[in-house]
Amino acid sequence: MRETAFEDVFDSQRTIRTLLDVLSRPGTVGSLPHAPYQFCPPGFCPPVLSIMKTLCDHRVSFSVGSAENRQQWVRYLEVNLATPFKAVAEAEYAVFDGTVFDADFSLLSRGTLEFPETSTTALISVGGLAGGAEKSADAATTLRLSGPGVRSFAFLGVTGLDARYLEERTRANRSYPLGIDLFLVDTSGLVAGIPRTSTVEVS
Amino acid sequence: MTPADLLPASGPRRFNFAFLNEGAKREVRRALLKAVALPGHQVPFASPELPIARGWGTGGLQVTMSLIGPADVLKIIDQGCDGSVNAVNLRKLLVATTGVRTTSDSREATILQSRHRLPEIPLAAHQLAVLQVPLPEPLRLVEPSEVETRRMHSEADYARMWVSLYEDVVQNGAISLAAGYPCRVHGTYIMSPSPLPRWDLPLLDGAEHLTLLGAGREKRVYAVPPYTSVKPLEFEDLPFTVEDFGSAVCARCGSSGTFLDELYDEKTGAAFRVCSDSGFCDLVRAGVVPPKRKTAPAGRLAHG
Amino acid sequence: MGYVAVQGGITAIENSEKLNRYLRSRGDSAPLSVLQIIEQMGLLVDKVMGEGGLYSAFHAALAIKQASGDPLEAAFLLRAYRSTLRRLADSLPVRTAEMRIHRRISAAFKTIPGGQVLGSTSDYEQRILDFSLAKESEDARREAVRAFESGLVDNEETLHPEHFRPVIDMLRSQGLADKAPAASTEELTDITQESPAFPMERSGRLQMLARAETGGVLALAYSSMRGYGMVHPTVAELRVGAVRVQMPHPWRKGAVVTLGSIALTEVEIVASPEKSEGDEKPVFPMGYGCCFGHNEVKAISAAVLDRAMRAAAPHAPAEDAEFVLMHTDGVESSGFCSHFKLPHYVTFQADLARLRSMRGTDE
Repeated sequence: MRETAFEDVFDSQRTIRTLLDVLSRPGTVGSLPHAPYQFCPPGFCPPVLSIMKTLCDHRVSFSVGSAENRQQWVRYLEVNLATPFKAVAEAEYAVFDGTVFDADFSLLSRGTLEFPETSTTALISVGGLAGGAEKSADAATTLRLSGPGVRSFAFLGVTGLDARYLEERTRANRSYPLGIDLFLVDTSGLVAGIPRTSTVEVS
Repeated sequence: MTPADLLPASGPRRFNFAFLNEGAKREVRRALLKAVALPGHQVPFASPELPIARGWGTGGLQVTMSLIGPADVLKIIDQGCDGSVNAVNLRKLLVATTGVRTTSDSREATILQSRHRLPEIPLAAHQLAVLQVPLPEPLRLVEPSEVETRRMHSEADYARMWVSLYEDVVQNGAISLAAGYPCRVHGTYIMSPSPLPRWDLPLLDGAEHLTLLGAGREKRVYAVPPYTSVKPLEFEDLPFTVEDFGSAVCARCGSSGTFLDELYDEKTGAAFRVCSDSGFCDLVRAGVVPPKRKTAPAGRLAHG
Repeated sequence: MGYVAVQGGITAIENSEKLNRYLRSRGDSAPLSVLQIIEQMGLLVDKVMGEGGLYSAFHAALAIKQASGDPLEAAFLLRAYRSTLRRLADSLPVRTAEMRIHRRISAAFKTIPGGQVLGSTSDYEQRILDFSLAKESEDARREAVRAFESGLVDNEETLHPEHFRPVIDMLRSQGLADKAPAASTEELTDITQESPAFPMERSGRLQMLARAETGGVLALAYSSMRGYGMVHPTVAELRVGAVRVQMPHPWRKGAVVTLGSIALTEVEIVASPEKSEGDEKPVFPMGYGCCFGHNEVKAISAAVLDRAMRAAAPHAPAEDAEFVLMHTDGVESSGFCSHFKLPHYVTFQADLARLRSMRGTDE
């Protein structure tokens, strides 16, 4: 069950640079280092493990929403991360399957006024991602992003993301600085970041 | 008992890549991502001790150590100069623990770690600025207690800051703050830009690059994402101005539009001016870039 | 042309290192051994272990040698070394009631269960410089040790921990002192793994005091003793001795592994009762201080500050937890103090420009 494909020092360094880049430039799509994991449970998006291996350890906790294969995901992540599992309202990192809206997403912590950074970071696996300054014709959904990190507007094409995640995100982030921050990940290892400061319009 | 009995059982010490252990790096990385999502907000982090003294750049160092990779090109400056003793010392530690290539040409760097200055040539989108910060809390000017300043930020209760600036104007005719001038980021948090001179603040506003700021002793990191507004606090009738060096030019390269250091000749005692950004000055002297000319009258100086 | 040459800095630094090593090595004396520092400068080693936050006499003594005896620098070396070590596990809480007593006194009562054990202390020594120490010979030293050891008697029985019922327990059983805090099921702050946040719960405050710089803690406690806050402390108990360090067995549930023992100084003070609220009867509020090794001034001062920081209506500096704890870490304070030696000429240039502009003079 324990994966060995991820190199702790250098893969995590490349991962954090990618995460930092996509979160500080919403609309950018980055590429996570390739790690051929062997034991991923059904429905789990493998590159999400790379993100969690980069960010999680015994000092934080994770949750997995209420997806069908939840128990398998929990077991898999506990073995590979040495990070405790906690209820979705308490965990710092929460993993969701983006193709189906999970009501647990509404329970995520938005931080407090004095400690807004204690909010959850959501890792949502999607069908596919395509970035660019121009609106893409192929994508099932195009997000128009603006705010810090974006020069004026940026477009992010996403397939396999239930629109309710974005609606709920908008609702959760209505009182800045409270809010949740997201990373969207697809199975090929492409990743996009949407900080709470982004304004997202769905077209 | 002999001294040999006291030697620790483990073998010779080898340091982890970029010195910090992976757990420490992870903690900084978590904090940095949240900092980016909350422009200008100070995010606490554990900040364990390093072999470099507190107050000497451990915050900036931990940010760099948590992000740097073998392919990076590193430039470290102090007061704008690559050769300044502390920059030399920090560079020594980073190179010894990473083997990365270093440069004094700011255009080549992928990571620029700096104490108190930004380079004269604005950084591009792919470059990362890491600033060393002694006192991250801009409200410390009016309030010594951390509990209280935290509350003030949480409620955007900045009234006392404005009153303090107003009193400064009444007493001195102008806002007398020089370096580390407080700024409003993304129209929300008031932030200390680190002790940058006023000269450098226009470079932060709407910059193409990400700026990360680390305060090791105070245990805070914060960030300014690209294309984010950074507005120095000012009154409508008393706009923010940068330093004015009058008609002075750099004695080495002839630039009149750079931040100039005031030096005194070691032998004659005569005063002269030189570019604070030594890397830039070297490029001009080598004929690689043209000298920077002063383009606007004293006051708001636009950066190109 | 007076300009900072890019290569000049590294040469200056390297030469400075060589000069430091030279100053520490020249002369006719034999090289100082780490063992000599451990054996003959034990109190300095204890102080440095406490301020470095790392219990290892060898590493503390090595740091003292490297720092040419500067305790602030030595503590810094230890902390930086500590940062490189992998954190394996958390120990179980040490049980100071089971301490193997080396020294144990109470100022509160003339006699106490188990008795007052003076132990090793300079408290009652006449502070007269002993010039014979300047010509201590190896033989004389060995002979003195042999003579002392031959006169020892076995008092293992009377020093058994169970005889030394803690004084504070006696006061508590009569309802005269603060109740003991309930064993908490919540996670405690670990100040080495998180940024301290105020208001800070008591465990975090005691941890910060445990590795605070002795002089800083003493100065603030002294201010309280002298009148800035008026904690009139009575030392209910001061203990110095060895406690076992244990951790839960990694995989055998319920089993415990003993790792070894460490020396601790622990002080409990009681302070003057404050006016009580409502039906509550007044009690002696207590203060607690604990640190590595043998360092009584620090443990007493820490206990006084622990009490001061819980004052009902704080107004003196020693009663302000943020003031006390943010300014007594020696590594942080000395680092920041020293940083003012770094070049600040750009910020100073900015100040010069501002001042000249305010004075209306051209630059």
